[in-house]
Amino acid sequence: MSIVTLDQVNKDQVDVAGGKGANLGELIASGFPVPPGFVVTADCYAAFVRDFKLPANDDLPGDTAAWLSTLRQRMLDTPLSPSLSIAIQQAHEALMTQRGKDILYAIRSSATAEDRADASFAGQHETYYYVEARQLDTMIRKCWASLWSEEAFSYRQSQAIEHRSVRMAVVAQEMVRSDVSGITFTADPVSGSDTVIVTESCWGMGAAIVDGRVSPDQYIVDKSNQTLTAIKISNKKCMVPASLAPNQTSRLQEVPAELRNKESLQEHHIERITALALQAEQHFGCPQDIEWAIHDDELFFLQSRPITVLGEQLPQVPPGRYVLFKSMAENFTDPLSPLTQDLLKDLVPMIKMIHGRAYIPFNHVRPLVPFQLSDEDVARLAYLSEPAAKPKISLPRSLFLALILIGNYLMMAVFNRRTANMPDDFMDGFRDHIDAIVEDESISAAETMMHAFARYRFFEPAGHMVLLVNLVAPRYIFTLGILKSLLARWCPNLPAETASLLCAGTDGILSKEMGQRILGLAEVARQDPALRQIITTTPLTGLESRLRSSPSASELVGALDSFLAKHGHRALKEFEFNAPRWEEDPGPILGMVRNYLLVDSDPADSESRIRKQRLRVQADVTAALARHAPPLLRLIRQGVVNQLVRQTQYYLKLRENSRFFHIMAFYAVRRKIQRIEASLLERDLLKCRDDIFYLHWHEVSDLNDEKLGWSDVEDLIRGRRMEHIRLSKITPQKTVGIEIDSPAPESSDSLSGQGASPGRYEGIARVIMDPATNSEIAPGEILVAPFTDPAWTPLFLTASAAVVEVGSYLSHAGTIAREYGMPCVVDVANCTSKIASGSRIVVDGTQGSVTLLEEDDNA
Amino acid sequence: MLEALLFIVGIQMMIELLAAGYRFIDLKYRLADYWMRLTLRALCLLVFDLSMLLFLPAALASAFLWGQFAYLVFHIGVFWIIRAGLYLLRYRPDKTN
Repeated sequence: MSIVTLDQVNKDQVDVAGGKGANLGELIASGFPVPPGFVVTADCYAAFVRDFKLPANDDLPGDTAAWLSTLRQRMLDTPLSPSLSIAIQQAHEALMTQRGKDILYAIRSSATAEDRADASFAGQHETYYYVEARQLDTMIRKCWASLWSEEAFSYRQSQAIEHRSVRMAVVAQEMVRSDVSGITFTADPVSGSDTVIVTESCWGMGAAIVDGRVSPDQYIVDKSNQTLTAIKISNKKCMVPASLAPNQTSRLQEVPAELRNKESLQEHHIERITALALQAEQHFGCPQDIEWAIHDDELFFLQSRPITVLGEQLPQVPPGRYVLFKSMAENFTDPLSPLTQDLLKDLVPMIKMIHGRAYIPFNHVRPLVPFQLSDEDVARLAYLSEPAAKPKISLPRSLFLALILIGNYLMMAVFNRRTANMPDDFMDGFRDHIDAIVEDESISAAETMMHAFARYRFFEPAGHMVLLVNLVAPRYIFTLGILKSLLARWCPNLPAETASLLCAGTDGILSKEMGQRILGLAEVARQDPALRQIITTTPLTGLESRLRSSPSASELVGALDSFLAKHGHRALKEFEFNAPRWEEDPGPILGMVRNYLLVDSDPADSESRIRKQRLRVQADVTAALARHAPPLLRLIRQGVVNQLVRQTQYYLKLRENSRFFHIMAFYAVRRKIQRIEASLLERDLLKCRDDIFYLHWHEVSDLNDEKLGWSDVEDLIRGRRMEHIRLSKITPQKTVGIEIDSPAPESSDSLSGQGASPGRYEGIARVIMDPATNSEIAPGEILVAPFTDPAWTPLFLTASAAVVEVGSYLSHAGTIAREYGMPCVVDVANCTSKIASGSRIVVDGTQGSVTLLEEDDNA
Repeated sequence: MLEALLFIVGIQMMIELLAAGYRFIDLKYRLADYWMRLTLRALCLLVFDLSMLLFLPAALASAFLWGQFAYLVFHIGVFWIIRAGLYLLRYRPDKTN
């Protein structure tokens, strides 16, 4: 029996139809809507490879890569037996007669070891779309060859599966020309929680999700009552269309602007998918991972298989001990793309990339801690940035640290003096410096960071040395520390947060100015009701072009261009070279403008409140100094306090502003990469934008030199995109190779973190995961975020307090919250999942705690 | 003891002198606004420096001068050592992992 139709097989016939085919047959038999098709059975594969004499696992050749490559090529070169070719053609004709039309196929690999509960093989075997009848023979052989790809081979090795024992059937199924498609998990694939149903969807064919090329919309349904509990609408840039246009070679195309941020599923779709998914789970007896498609409002199941919990398949970590590089992790928590990892490692060779995140080797941290602490305590200290309880000083380590500090002082002393009391605009020349680097074609993308950050001339202006500016700026830690202890001594009755409040409200902080300018854009739009209407109703992706073509928006467009000229190099997740900059896509800025227009807030109130608060604190300090000292001494003390406040404010500003200029260098690298990418796309060496970021630098160089071709990197890119998605769903470990005690379990109504900005505030929480897609926060609400970077700053103008999953006192969230005089708690583990939007919470930035109030407490 | 102290003061003096000199480069883009302030600062430092050399006893003046000279050599040396380090980093064998 070489060919069987899908409705002739069931779940017990994995040996005949492979995992996928058997499941599809079972779904059809159970009444699920599955497109018709037929299966080229695993026996056909067995007959096909009989002459290849495949070795047992113990007898595999040494150079497996070369052997696999030869084997695949042999499979592609060997024709199918005439009887099998005829049988395939007959099955096609029968199906065509049944459907009454010509058929295009989706050809899916269906290995006998795949889709088991303990091994998914997800994405490792090939699927081909738009296959015509005349191509069936070739595509079936390609599927068989994919059983011997290096990825599939390695995966079988890791699972101790005998290679020879695995056979592959091929499913030829009528292709559904999907308008929308997606994946539904009847349990959370990351945590394994079986209380929810997670559905991810995108426009067009589901391959874009499976390949990891698109961030899908996500719908979470409570399994107990089947109500929709959360929706995340993504900016869906790419899609695999249901049909190829004439002369179209790339199956990926850009999503039309009006659809990018539109919900891909309607309520009745979610209800239908949920109901059928639950039915499938019940039928198969375990949580299912279901691929589906919708065409003309009709839902089809394309496959259903057991979920393999992602969290159990973490890639191995390298030997050694590492601590998460917190200053990067607190700016965004996603893994870095492979190309970003390579180029950052060129700049900071000591960092180690683990699961896409930057780590510092522990042995680099250890000598810098002058206390008698265990390794575990040092790791905690390095990550948490807070002193352990009364540690004892270690004399040898203190001497070593003192030597390092003296050496560092001597090296940086001149630069320290050069950057003292400089005018606010002294780094502005860095923009021209960076433009010159971008224009210089002799500097490669890999060398750009080095040129921008480290390769200085002897007489280089300080404003060009922005990395060094950032390194000397933390002097405010000392001035603030001195201020705190002096105030505690001279004004013992003042609250502990007085010093922080006194130093807030600095003028000239660029990220603060950025928030105010976005607010200014909103004010321009608010003046004209028609313009306001356009901004609040037009989808974000088409908004910019609509505004540019609208004469009434000329003032706003002018203001936007002026804003982008200064801040256009910024972006969400700006350390990632793959992150589009605002200059390329001002959508997020227009989203923030829309947010301001939708909420009835007056940030001037907030600024006035902050100003009044600072004046009150200043008056309190003056009064307290007067109470505790005679007039002359009071004057001296007041002078010392004022000087320390000025110094602290200046260096805080220097640190925040130097970051503004660092990001220009990151954008310069991106521009260089984009130049290479354009050339590779033009030469057909790459097929899709952004794929380049999933290559390593040496691979990009080899592609550019045409030592590699598209076929060499296609699978690599797909595999790395999948890996990236997998890693992005994993919370990074704070330490590797060192066990640090977890904090004591928190009570259900209380979360703890680090206080980054003092004060206490009670209000309604608003969880925002990505300000580019959801930035609506009402005045008085509390921002709850996974991380923040300067792109989040405008939200701080509307919010009244902030709670952030990662971060420290020195992080962006803390700095900006102090500037805006709002309480802020950072490093609150999993706050975005533990706090629900709309719930009432109390943020105590002084104590570093967040309290979740019960419904009864809300009154 | 006093010599050691003057040596350190010499180091600090050279740091201030170098920083004052660099300020002309750092603020070149606004020299019209700042030239007088910068020149005054540099002159004051030079006058102070020369006064120290003139009025200090020979042994102490020598320590003070050695401090300045040592720091100048250190400052220039560090620049070239870092340059060489960056050069080696660029051509290190494995740049990918």
